[in-house]
Amino acid sequence: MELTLITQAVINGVLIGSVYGLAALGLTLVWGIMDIVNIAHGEFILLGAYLTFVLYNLPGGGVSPLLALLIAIPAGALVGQLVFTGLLRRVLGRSGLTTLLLTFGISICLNNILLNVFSPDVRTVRWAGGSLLLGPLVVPISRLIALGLVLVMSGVLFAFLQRSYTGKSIRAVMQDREAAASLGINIRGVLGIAFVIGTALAFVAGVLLSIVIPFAPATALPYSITSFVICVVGGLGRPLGALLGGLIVGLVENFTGTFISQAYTPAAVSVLLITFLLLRPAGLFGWTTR
Amino acid sequence: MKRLLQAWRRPTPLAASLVCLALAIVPAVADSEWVTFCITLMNLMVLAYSLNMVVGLIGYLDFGHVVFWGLGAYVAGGLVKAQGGPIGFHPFFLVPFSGLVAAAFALAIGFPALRIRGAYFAIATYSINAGVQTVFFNWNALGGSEGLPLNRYLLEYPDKVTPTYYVLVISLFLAFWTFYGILKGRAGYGLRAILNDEDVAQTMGVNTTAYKIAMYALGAFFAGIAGGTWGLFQNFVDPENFRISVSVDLFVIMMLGGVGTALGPLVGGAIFYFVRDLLMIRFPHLHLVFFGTVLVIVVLGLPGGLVGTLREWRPRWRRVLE
Repeated sequence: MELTLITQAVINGVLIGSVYGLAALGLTLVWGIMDIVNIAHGEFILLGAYLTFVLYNLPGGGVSPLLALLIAIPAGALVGQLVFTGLLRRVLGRSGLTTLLLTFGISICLNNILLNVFSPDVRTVRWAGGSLLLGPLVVPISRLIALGLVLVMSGVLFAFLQRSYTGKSIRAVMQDREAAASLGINIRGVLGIAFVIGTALAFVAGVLLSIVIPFAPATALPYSITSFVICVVGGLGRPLGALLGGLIVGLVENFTGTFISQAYTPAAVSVLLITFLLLRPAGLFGWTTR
Repeated sequence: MKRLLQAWRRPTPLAASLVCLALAIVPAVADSEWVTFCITLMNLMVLAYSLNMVVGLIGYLDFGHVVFWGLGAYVAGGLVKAQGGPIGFHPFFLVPFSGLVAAAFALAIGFPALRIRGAYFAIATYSINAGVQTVFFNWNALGGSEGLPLNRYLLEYPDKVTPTYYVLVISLFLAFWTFYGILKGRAGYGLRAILNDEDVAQTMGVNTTAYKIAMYALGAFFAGIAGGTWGLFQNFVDPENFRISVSVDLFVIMMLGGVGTALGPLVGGAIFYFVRDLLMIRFPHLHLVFFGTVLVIVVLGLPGGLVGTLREWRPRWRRVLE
């Protein structure tokens, strides 16, 4: 019985954690390269989730979340481009206070727009219901699909970062901005592309989260915080670290929820964050301390 | 200290002291609507000063500052409840304890938390606030998520408004002078050094840890005082005292007025409160959209806030606006 419970907690943790990891990928990319912590990341995730919700509940027959995924990528890229050229470009290189407060302002603004448009109600996208039963273990099909999509999406991202010229310039700028600039890389252009990719990833994560867990405007800040914790755990600007960190956070949440109380999961995540900040501020894969 | 005592004639402290004096005579000349209005306003101003001590003086972005306010409210409420029945002394004597407990909590979390910087500190303080709120949500002896009504313990003290009002006037006066004294005194040099470059300051022999912890605890003290007063004024404490929207309000006030300026919280607080009142009546659901936009515009257009921008604009006004 105890063993079943533990296995079930591991399964839930891995399934949810992989989506968290994808959500944090965008944040870690932006943070690592621009040195800007985007507090509005949770709102970008929610925009993706509400996009899926709206498309799924269209009057003339809903659009499948799989198709919504293909719409969410360009939509996220567009939003990212607008926010970057309109706002973030103006504060590049300014102090952390300025950039944090700017993204904080964007976050409050977007969140309350969502609140006014969609009301504070908790929404769900009921798609691919049902579960696989493996003996006493339960594996929801929608979460399994989400896990598969996370693997595909992160595979595409890794291939892009490793193989393409743009991906290589992103990694170069992340490692050493001056050296990259001296080799003729357009720094501002690369920062813009990284932010656009980060936002598109947030939208994709939102689509996947919407079929996995319920969401409401109030869940945006927890998404931002969870993504932040994952970035700290995995190491700044490390995509692989973000995926692994997502699994760790997912497992910590599920074990706390299963064995202590669901009410204490935010506190458990806080403890994880503070432990890492004190003992290993560079994260699992990180090379910088600051 | 002597220099500070002589400083009252300078424009900034004179203006701030006159504002406090004007606030002190409001109950004598205006009706109760104005009195309640001023209580809320002064609560925000004291909190803005306390946050300014952390953000403005040492440059650490405290996203969880409201934790000290909530803690202050719970200390006052918890002590009132611990008395069991009608309490034999005026409940507002508990307010200093609220401040002290908040400051002690700041000392305890400050030692580990102030070692990390920038966004890490911001999110760590946010998480601490969320963690403490979770604890009070589940603390059934203090009412849990339903909160703790205080009125049945405080039947002998029906008038909360008058003591609240004067405690807040005195707190505001003290908060201004504490902030101004630190800014202008010897500590101000060390703090400006930390603001500019913490590592260099440390190398030059500034005891950065002591300065940072002291400012953090001092900010927490004033926030705790405001929280304790607020809890008694409301006759009720609940986990909503840790709501993040209070932190949002405070950041808007501080940015509007000017981070690190002595007049900033007064100017920003007055404008913020006036505008919010107006907006809340006309657009009850949209006012936060508006404030998010204001924050973005102020960050992009007036990074020094009103006071800071005026100082930059007319260098001669630097002596006047501090």
